[in-house]
Amino acid sequence: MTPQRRRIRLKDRLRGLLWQLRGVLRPTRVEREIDDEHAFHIEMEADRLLREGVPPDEARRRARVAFGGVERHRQAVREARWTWGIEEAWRDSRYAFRALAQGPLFSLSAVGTLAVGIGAATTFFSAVQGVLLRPLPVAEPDRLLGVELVRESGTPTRSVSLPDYLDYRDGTAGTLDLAAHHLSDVTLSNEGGAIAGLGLDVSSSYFRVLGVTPALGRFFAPGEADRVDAPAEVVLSHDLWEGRFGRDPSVVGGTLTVNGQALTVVGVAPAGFRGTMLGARPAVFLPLGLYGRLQGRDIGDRMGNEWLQLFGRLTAGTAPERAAGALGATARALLASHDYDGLGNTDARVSRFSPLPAGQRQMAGRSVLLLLASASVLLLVAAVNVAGMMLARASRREREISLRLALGAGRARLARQLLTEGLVLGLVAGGAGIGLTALGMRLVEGVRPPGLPGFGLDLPMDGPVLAFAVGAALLASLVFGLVPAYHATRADVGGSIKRGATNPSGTPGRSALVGAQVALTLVLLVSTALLLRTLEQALATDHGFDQEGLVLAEINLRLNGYDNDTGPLFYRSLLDGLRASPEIASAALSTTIPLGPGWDQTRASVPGLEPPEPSGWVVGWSAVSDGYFETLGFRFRSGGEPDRMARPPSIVVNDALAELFWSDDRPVGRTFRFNGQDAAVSGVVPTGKYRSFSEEPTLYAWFPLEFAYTPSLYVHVRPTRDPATAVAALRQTVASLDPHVPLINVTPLETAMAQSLFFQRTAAGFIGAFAAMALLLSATGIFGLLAYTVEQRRREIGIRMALGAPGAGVVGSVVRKGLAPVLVGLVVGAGGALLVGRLLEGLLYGVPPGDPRSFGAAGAFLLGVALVAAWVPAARAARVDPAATLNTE
Amino acid sequence: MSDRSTAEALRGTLDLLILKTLSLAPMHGWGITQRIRELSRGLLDVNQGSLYPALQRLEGKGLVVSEWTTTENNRRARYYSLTASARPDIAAEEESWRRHVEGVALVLEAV
Repeated sequence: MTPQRRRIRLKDRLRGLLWQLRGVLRPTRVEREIDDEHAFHIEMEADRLLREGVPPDEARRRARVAFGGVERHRQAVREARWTWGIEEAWRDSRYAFRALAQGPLFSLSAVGTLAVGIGAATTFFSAVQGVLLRPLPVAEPDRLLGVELVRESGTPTRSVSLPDYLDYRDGTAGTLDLAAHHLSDVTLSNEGGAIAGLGLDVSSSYFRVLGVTPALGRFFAPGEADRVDAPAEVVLSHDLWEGRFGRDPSVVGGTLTVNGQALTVVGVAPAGFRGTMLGARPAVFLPLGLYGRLQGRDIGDRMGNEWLQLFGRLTAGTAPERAAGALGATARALLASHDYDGLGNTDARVSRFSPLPAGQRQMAGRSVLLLLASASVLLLVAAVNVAGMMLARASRREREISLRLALGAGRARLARQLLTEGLVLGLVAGGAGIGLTALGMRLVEGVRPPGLPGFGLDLPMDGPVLAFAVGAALLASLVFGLVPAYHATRADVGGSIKRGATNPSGTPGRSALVGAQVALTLVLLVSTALLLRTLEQALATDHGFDQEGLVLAEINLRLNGYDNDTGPLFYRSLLDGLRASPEIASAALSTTIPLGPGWDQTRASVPGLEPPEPSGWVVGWSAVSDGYFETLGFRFRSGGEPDRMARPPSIVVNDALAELFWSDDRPVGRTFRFNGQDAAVSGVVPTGKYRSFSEEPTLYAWFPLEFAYTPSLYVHVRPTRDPATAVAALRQTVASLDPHVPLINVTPLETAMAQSLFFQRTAAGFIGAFAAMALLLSATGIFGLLAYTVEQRRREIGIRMALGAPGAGVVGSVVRKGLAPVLVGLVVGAGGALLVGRLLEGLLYGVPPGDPRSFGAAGAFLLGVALVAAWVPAARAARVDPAATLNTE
Repeated sequence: MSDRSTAEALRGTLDLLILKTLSLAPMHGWGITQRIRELSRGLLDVNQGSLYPALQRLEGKGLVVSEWTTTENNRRARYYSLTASARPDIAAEEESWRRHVEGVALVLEAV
């Protein structure tokens, strides 16, 4: 019977609609009108009865009876409006707000707890996005492929020499538009002074491959940037142009001095484009071919000169396999026509291009994923904690709930009400969590590998990040909204009203929640313990020398016009000056530092021993000045400091090399082939760690600096008393020799060596903080559960004690009750920690993921905290006064 | 007829009775019940539990409007009156109702 609808005029229909909306907009007024109308109806009915001769009181009574249940009529009228659903949801949320405002302590702690969890998880979601997920701001990033080559020995590599790059570029023409890039340290100077920064050395094809257009001027001309005699040009990053040149368009055509060389500024990169190495914010883009001149290196050779990383844009309609095939064919052709001394390539692989530098891809990726997982665990602990709080609150409200059930409120309606409270709580916490995320993102952006200017993540608060925060808030509210809602629907109407509020229902549910919190907390604690053990192991590593108290600085004469004759003289005077200072006990120079950023290797062999490859064994090496072993405090196993002037050159080797080459244990004085010449062993020192803490024992040798000068050196200083005054003396000595030579990265050697522990340290810091918060939450969970149980059992405990039960027995029974879920949680958590340990594996050193000491320590610590949390309410139970308790009944 | 469509038919009938009553003059809820009772000579007694939801529904559809005014006894009451859309609607409803009754009567008489 609805076809008449069509005949209703638009004006009337609109009026009807507006009228319905009043129910949403003015709910109290609409309700009052309904009540007034009903009251009027009853009065009129009573009047009528009065007119029929019924006495006034009787008339009113009969009128009311005839009208029937007021509430039922009210509800029927409400439901006649289709907007009722909205009105009800709105009413529910307002009621939820009121209910939450009535328990401000509960609400604030719940919102705070959740906000921290949501903030932590969202922060690391944005970090995962920044490190692993967000595409580069370039055209069609999907078609960009990263190139990995396979060595003759089967090991993969991502680096090639400049001549090789040019051959690969020509070999892949038609399938892959190949580009090369490399990150280097640069010093930029103009009239305003000098700043250290990063430069990205790029091929001519670089910007074309990426599909990036200049904000100003032009990029490098085709082919020109790849020549060893590349034009002296530079492209500015947008950040540099904005920050240092105030967006002055006239910089194009001007000059910028990079590493002491005047380069013509030809263009400015677009805003938001920060190159193709994640975390690095290059200040300038430089032609590849300039690298040799700017860094004082020969880049024309194919051998031992692999410094470029390759990526390319796949030609439309070409299969990636064809590009890989073309690269592989080129590799084999190069191998056939050139001598690579066992280090040539035989094959190539391509994969989607990632801006994460090859060496850090795994570590950074693993670290952020691990931190996201840990933060999610913290969020889960927070949600479970709040669920426990909600359940406790629901138990306290049991009387109210039972009463409402008895008065005819639907169970579904009640459950919906409780769920709404959870959602309101979750959304408020989500809002607060987004605020905390903004703080957390600044914190994570501030985490930078030490000593690397220009590195750092950019974490914008974008759509996906906000969506994640809201999603996390909603999921969490489901966790803690459903538990009490489910509980309420099972509430027993009669029982709780009759018995009063002393019904300890809800405790099994809360015990389970405590167990869950303990399990999750243990996972975080074990992860922290494993990482701390790794750091402990790493820092306890014996490097064969005494790094404590040593001061390190870098000097790069390349930037100050020194050549291969004047450079050594400067360094000679520097050493003499330092040794004359009373603040400095000893001083020395070296080309690399253990576990530092640079790594030099060469080949060595010894007569009578067959090497794995014809050219010999790979040996790491550093060139060092006189006084090096004394300054660093090396302990010689045998022999001693090299004779600087001896021929063949006198060389110090490590245990690993000595044992391999001379198993007869008398290596001192023996000669071997090192870097294509003869060298004689002057001493043997213990094997340390050179590239990473987790490396296998590595062959290593120290060569006299006199035979291997380079303009960029590390200065080691051992202070007489105070590192600070020693640094002052160092600065003064350098300034007195040449005021234009800057000291770079002055830092304790220990700090520089610990840089390779950057990811472990960062992860340990964050996960440790998460674990501490989770522990606190678990402790409050246990405390809350037991305090509640004691409160509920007050009568029973009173009777027991009246019957002579000892206080200790009461304490024991309460603690036991509290520890049961803790123990279950520990067992489950240990299983979870074993699984998470696999995520950690790449970060651990000297500690297996299932390390019993870490598990034991974490478990014992958690158990201890649980005992304390259980003890307080248990002790309170023992103080129950039997007489007082029984009298309250 | 299923329960649902029976309820709908009854609801439609109630709507028609209310609209028809209001076509005489604007009236408050209690007055509508009285008038229906009088006009049906006591045969029809509209329950207030259905009356007020029905009035809400009709107002939501845009067939009636309500207004609070004072009665002759100086009481505030909500008076309902028809909108311009209601009159053609009543006519159509009446027609359909008559045919329905006629049909039912024919069947009842024939068997």
